[in-house]
Amino acid sequence: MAFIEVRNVTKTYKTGEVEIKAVDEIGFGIDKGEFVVIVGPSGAGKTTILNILGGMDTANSGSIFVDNAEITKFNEKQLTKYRRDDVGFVFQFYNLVGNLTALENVELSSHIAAGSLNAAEMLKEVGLSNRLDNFPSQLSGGEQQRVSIARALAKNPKLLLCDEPTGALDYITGKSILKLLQDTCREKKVTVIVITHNSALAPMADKVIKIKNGRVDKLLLNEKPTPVEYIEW
Amino acid sequence: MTKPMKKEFLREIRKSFARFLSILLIVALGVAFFSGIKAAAPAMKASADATYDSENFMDICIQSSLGLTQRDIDEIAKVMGVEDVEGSYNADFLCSTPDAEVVTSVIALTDRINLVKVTEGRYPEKYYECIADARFLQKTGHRIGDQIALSTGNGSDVSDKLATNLFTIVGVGNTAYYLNEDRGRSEIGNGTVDAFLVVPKQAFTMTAFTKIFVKVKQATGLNCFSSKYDRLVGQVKDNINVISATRCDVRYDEFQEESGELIKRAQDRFEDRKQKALDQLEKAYQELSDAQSALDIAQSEIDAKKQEIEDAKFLLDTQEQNLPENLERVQQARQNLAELEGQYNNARIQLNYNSGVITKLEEELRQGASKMSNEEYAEAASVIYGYKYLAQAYQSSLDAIKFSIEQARARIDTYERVLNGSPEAIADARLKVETGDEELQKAQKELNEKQGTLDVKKEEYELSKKEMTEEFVEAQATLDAYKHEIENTPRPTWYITGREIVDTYASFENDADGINAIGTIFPIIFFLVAALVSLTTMTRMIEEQRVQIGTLKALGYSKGQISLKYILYALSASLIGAVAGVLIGERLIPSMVVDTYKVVYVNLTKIIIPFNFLYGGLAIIIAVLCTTLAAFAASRKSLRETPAVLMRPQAPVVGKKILLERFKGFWLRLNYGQKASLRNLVRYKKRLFMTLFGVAGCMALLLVGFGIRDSVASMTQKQYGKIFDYQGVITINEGLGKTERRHLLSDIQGTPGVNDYLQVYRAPAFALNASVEQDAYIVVPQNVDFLGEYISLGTRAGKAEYKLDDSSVIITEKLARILGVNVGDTVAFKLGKDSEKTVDIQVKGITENYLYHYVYMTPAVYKMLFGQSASLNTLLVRTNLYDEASFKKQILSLDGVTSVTMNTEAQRQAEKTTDSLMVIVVLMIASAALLAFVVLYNLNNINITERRRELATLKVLGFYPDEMRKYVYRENAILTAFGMLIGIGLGILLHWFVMRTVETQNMMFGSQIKWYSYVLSFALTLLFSMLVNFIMRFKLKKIDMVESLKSTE
Repeated sequence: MAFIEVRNVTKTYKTGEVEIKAVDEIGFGIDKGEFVVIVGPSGAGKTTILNILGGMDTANSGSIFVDNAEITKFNEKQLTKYRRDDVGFVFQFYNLVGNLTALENVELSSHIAAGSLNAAEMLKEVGLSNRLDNFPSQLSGGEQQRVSIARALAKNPKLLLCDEPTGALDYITGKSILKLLQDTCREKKVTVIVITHNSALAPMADKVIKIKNGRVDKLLLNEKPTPVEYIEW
Repeated sequence: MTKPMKKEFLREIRKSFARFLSILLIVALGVAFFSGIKAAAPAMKASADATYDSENFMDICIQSSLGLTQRDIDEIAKVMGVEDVEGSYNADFLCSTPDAEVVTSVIALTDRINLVKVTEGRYPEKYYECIADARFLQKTGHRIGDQIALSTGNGSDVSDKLATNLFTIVGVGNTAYYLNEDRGRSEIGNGTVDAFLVVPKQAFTMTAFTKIFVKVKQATGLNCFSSKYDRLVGQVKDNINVISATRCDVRYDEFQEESGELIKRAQDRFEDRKQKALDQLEKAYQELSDAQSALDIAQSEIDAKKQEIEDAKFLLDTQEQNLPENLERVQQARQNLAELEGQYNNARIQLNYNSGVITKLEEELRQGASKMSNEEYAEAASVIYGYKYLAQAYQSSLDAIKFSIEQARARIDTYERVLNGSPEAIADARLKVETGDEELQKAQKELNEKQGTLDVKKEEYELSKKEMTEEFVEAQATLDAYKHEIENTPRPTWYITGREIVDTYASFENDADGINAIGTIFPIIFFLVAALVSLTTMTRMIEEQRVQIGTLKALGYSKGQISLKYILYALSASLIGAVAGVLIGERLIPSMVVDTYKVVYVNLTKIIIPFNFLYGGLAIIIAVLCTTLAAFAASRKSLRETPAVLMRPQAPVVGKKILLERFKGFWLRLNYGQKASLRNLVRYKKRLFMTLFGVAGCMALLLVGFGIRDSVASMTQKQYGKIFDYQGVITINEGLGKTERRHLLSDIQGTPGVNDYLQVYRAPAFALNASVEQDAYIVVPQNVDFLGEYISLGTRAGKAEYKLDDSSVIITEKLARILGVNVGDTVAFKLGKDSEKTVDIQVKGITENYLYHYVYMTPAVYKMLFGQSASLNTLLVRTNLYDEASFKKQILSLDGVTSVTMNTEAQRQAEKTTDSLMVIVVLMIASAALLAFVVLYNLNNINITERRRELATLKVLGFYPDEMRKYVYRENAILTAFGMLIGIGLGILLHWFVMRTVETQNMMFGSQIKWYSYVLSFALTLLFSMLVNFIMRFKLKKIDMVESLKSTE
């Protein structure tokens, strides 16, 4: 069994009378330490997959195994614990707590997770050793996203989920963030899943899952992923 | 507004109905509270006014020191503005029952003004029928149909004032003159009127009315507590005042004339009686002297006969040999006769002269009597009497001489016959000598007896003469004193007063104003909260709709068009809320308040809850303006930005270091959550202040609520536990003699249960300054050293103990406050309400006291001030018993005891009147709960909504629910703690203020809050805030993690 196994997962949303199938019998597998890009147009069901994978939402049917644990069978509390210890999350809009400094934002996760890493150490690793005491408002977008990544990594998570991590950033900063994610994956052997609508990013992944209308459209494996520096979009 | 905009507006309301409703409700609450409490005092006043009007209550009351007459009434009726005038009588009497001595104010049943309502039975028709006050029945235990007896209690006759002292109760009634249980003060009994009786006017025998009631034209239509009414009545008062001087002069002359006539009649009666007595005396004297002269004549007859016998004996013995001697004897007898005749003529002349003088004097007296004073008349009469006495004496001596002359003639005759040697004469003489001796002795003995009886009678006469004289002197002196008093009676003045003369009128107004004072400060708190909450809610709403505003702006809508939606939203919510609030508040709260006060003001028979348009309108306008302006201001702020800025997510909140972070030692120990909370507190200042305000307000209101209860409860406890360290008050008859008094005191001491007692003089008096006149009790202890054991004199704050001295007085705290005096100032007193004489004395101390007013002084000070000794009419008794009822009965059965009051009864009475304050307590607690809920719920709601994204992120990061709660509630906890601390300070302050304003004239509430009230307020505030947090946990739970993925809107 792969590190992450998604089997026949279906999720439907009800909006009044209309029933929308966000994901429809979707299934794929991800190995440990893989850098995965899930790509697809708006409304294809990428975010739904991410929500269910991240333990933020539940599937209507099907099952998901993460490191041999069937998270689709988890109750509320187990899901919270799963998010707390096993999942690192990088948001499109960073979602830093404005009233906490960079260091404190990282501590926000390092203090609760079971096998957490040193917060200051993490910030150093993302290249912010001199901005520990700065508040989010005093940091640039790229720096904020680095803090966000540091916060996610501080948990020493089993998988890192990134939702459009470069969506709010400019080209160059976006590139440096992607590089950080790629390097992290390589060096720390963390499974990284990046969700994006930008298919230009596909070459940098070990595995590319293209989604269309709630199903896996294409599943590509890159034998030799391109380093971010060489990708243009 | 375009059509889609209208649709959007209606949908907005439907979609955010909870928000719409919350603005509506908070506005309704604030407005209801404000307008409701504001309307309470007017409702109380309107109800009282209606009650007064229903009994055609007087607008002006006129009293005079010499009473008032029908002529006065006629004159007042002519004064401009006067609608109706009626005279009335009243006087205080005692009605004694085996259990109590009830001081009863007897008032005349009026026909048109100050009507009396009969609730049971019927109106009196006969002069001996009466209506009783419900309290009278309760105090005496009498029922309709019973006959009751009245006494004056001061030794004078009931008949001076009333036609009878026995009345039959035919009905039970009440009058607005006595709205509550207070019946006023009296100069008899224990000084407090207990109840009233209403009798027909013809039951009064007084010559002058005691009061004149006046109705003012058009005054009934006005509220009697309004300034308009005051002005109108004041005008008529002035008009009446104009004629008062003349009327007083007339009354004074009338009085002088009336009493002059009265005196004259009394003097005449006295003279009459005197004359009669003198006549009687004269007659008695005449009889005595007649008897004496009869006896004298009889004696001289006896003497003559003796002489005759002697003579006959002598003649017989010396018949032959002593002829020349006999001749000489005849000669001597003739000479004697001539002498006697001379005497007789002399006496006759004297008598004639005397008779002439008497006739002349009598004539003079007849002519001069009208001009003569009493003394002169009496003197002249006694001169005549002297002459008459003299004439009497002459007459009797004349008779005696005449008799002697005849005797002498008879003797000469006998002598001559003997000398001529008549044998018949000799035989005759012999016989006379033989029989006469024996007869003579018998007659002499009889005569002596008669003389003895006469002497006794004479002595009696002398005695009664002396007594009568003394009596006359005394009677004359009384008459003179009375005359003097009348001559020195000052000219009367009229006391023209409005309804304020009625004690309960004043205290009712006082109470209504107290409510109004509370009604000013508390609703303002609520109003502020309402305004703030709707402001934050509107601001929040507009912030949430930034993007929409930006879009509309980009589409080319004008600022006005865009902001119209928010203004209308706020306007419609606040307008509906405000109108509903006014409608509910102005109905509910005033009737609640009036109902509560009706417990005390039992005779408030009409209840009117007028709609208060002024405050209602004001509240609506303020509420709508506040909310709408808030919406306007908030939308203005957003509209200033360009559409581009609006459509971009709002700049992230700016984190800042706070002052506390400088304290590294402290700061570094905190975890990220604690740090974030502290920074949040500083960041959201508006929310910080509002939460503090809400919690502090809640805490303060609770403290005030419980504090009122504490203060009121502690008031009576302190008064009867701490300050008055005795259990009962016995009043005793002031007229008791020394021995009776001694017996009574030893009987009381001997009554089981009595530990000891202190004799004091206690009497009502008045303390005054330039503008206020306050009734108070003067208390004079017999023994100053023991007073401290019965009444503790000291300040409330400190432990300062006062001791009475002979140059100053100690007065109670509230009295000092009313008069505005401090220790060392002087204060003026007078004994009667109408007395002109006031005395000043220095205040040595102001002592803690809660109920009524007292002035403590030594006997020496009392004597110095009022010129008479304090008469020790009261005993303060310390007992150790449980069965007070039988104790009372036992004491009352003792002769000379006029009343017994146990402190437990007085305490119960006081507690009953303060029970009405409990509604305020409940109101406070309820409003505190509401306040806490509204504020905390709203703020928490906003807090959570504003930080939804942040909280969703934390959820994604894997925070457990209770970690989430801790993160959010920590701020609340800190704010609640600080809020409570502020609330304690605020509460103490508010409580102090409230206690000042709800106090009545005769009570002082301490501003005490018990420790358990702090605990309770603390616990309740905590409970309210925890309840809100509990509700919030569902809100927290519902936060969707997907929220974290969205861009900030």
